Amino acid sequence: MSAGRSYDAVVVGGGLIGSSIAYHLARAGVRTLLVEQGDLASGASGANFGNVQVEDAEFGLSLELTLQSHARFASLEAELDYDLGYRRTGNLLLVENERQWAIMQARVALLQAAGVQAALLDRHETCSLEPHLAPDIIIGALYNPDEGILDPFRLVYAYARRGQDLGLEVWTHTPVSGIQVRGGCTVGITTARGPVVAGCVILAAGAWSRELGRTAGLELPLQWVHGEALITEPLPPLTKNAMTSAVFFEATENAQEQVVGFCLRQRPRGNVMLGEAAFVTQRLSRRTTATALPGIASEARRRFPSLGRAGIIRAWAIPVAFVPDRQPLLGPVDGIAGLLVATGLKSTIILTPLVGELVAGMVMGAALDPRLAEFSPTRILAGA
Amino acid sequence: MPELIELAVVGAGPAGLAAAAEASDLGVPVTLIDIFPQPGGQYFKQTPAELGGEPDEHARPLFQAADRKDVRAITETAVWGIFAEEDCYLLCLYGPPGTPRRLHARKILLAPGAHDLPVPFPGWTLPGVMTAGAALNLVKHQRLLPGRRILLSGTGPLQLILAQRLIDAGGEVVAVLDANPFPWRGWRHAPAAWGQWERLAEGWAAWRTMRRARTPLRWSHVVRRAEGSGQVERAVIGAVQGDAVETVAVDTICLGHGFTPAVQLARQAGCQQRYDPGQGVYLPVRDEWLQTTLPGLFVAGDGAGIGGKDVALWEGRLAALGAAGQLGRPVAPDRVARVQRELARQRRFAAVLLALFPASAHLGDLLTDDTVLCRCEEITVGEIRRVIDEGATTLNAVRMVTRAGMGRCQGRMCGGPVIELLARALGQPVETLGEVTPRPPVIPVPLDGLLEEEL
Repeated sequence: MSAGRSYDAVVVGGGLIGSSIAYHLARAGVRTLLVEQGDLASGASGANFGNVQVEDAEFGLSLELTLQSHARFASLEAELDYDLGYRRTGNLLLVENERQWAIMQARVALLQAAGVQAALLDRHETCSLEPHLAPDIIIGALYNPDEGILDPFRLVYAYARRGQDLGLEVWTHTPVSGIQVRGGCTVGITTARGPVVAGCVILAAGAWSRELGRTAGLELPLQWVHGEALITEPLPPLTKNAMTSAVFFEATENAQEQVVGFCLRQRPRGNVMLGEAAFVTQRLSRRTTATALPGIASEARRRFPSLGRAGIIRAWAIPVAFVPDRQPLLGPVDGIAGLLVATGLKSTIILTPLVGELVAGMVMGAALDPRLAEFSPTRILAGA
Repeated sequence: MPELIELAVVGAGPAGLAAAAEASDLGVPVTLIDIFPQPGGQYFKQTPAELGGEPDEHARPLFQAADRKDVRAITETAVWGIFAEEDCYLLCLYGPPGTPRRLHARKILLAPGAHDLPVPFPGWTLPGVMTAGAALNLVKHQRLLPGRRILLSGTGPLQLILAQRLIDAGGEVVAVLDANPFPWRGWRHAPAAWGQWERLAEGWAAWRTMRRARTPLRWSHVVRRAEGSGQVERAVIGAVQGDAVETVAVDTICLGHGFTPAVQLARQAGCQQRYDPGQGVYLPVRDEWLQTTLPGLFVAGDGAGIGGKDVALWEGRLAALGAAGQLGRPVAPDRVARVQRELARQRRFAAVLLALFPASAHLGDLLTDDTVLCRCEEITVGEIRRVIDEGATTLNAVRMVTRAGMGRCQGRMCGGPVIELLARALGQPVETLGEVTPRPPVIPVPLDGLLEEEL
């Protein structure tokens, strides 16, 4: 076998994070290869609602970075020279019991202190924003008018395309079988197209990162939920804001049983996306389950009775990575020079511009905020 | 817990009806599920009684199967998803009030039939352009003419049958265009056609009707463009190859390029698929009993590859024998041999028709950038060509960026044409461009219809 192609950096995973990192590396003049096992955005990056959301960020550094990253969206379409379908729509976290109300009261104060225009609305104010919402279900909502939507497929494609204009190479449909480490240093990867030599490998493969990490002797504290959602045919205007039930703040991610919550987003063409049902699993599967669809249906019709007659055209399922301490895995791996990890982010879309820039900076040895150490992929998780 | 049944037959067309009869002959209780109010499928579709309809004489014994005591017919009901469970399958149903929403079945026999094969061309979204299947339904079962001056464009004998029906109903058929050349070599297939007297006679009668009405039949011709404001007014027709065109005044264009198998349910269930170059589509892989790669799940008839009514009837019987055997019923070897023999004979004739009148999907040269390819999401050829230029190399990539095939029909209409466009643009065979996994619900179902119990 030949020695293989050689690059300065290889990004594994052609999703939101991987494509942004690859673009930022190419922009900085680094000879970069982006490798993806399927099509671009074929994992969780393409199977979400496209929400550009602030509201569910963890407080502290995560929120700070989220807000910094958000600021870049105003000029992102111009920078990437691509129509991303980005628009501001607003977002509502629906509060449905007193316990959630208490949680949201604490959140809104902290969000406001961080400079977010969030407000806690009562039932009447919420329903005047969204008149189709069944009023007796909610007691209020946490509202942020500044959140938005974009087309996540287009965002990934835009990063890859602009990157290619700047010299990035992209290999799709190329499974990666291993990360090669020799003497504590990253030397490359093995792929279905043969070996690739690179002193720097960035692992950004979402739920698929754990298995790939193991090939380098790295045990990532990464888990995933099997998330499912569905979409209606185009409907007349129903909602303006994206909506999520605050029940997600009570507990979902530790559930081995399927937990059905409620989130909703009407796309610009009128299709309404509804979710989601999720359970923690060890399997990487894209198959929908028989129980998720009726579960999502009953949660949705409880809040929007008129949706009962809406035609459902498709459901989908995807593993979505998360870290039990709810902080991302972002940065270099201790003990393996040249290996970086970037996955497990909570609200991925909004963080893509900044994470791409940060990781490109790490690769180039730029001086970084020392607080980023709290996202180290080799940190010891509390309770883990 | 959902009720547990022995055998679910999904689809009550030729394959499903024949399967139900065969299985019940062997003492297997059958649940026969179909989306239409009456059994028959497309081929044996029954004309409503108020329009003077009576069951087709040939189909009468089949319909009697649906009325047997041990055959329970669930009509006007869609099966929108199949999920494998430990030792049975879960079927998700949506039908009128009182219909079960969930059934557990030990064995499933899918007989979903086929859709009209869409072959887009500039102007095909104008009102007045319809499929030959839709036109046949109108004239045969609703006693309605689709228009006054009608052009037929497509291929194969079904076009002649449609022309005959339209002429008999008082319509003016301006011309019948067949995209394939005259089958000069048809005589070579005489042995395979031997014994197919009924169908040859049917074709002959249709041909005579056309002659009497002086309807021209033009080989190697297609409709190249439809024009009109708000409605088809003219058709530009011409040879498949070459630039010479002429314009004819018409108000209706019927497209009869053939059929495409309804593989969605089998694929959603998780059956393994294989690309079939002859049919130009992915088909479920089946064993000698027509069982898919999912144990106990069979597919018979056009839904597993276009073969027509007679292939469907015998496949339905064979798959029913297979399912009955798995359910512990004694299956007579001479019956199996007879069914296999008949099926082989019918398949030979079906292969002749496919060879003489191949689905003429290779009409991509006609497409202009402003031709709408995905009707649900209104995506044009130009938009798809642009993302291919930008580097999309698979069907999925095209779908994701343009949203073509992501609408109400979930790519049933545009999936083939999009992949054809991609294959031409990249100069690659279709089977290298990937496929799309159908997701439940495989046909649109109201949100309330997904619930396990009626409200």
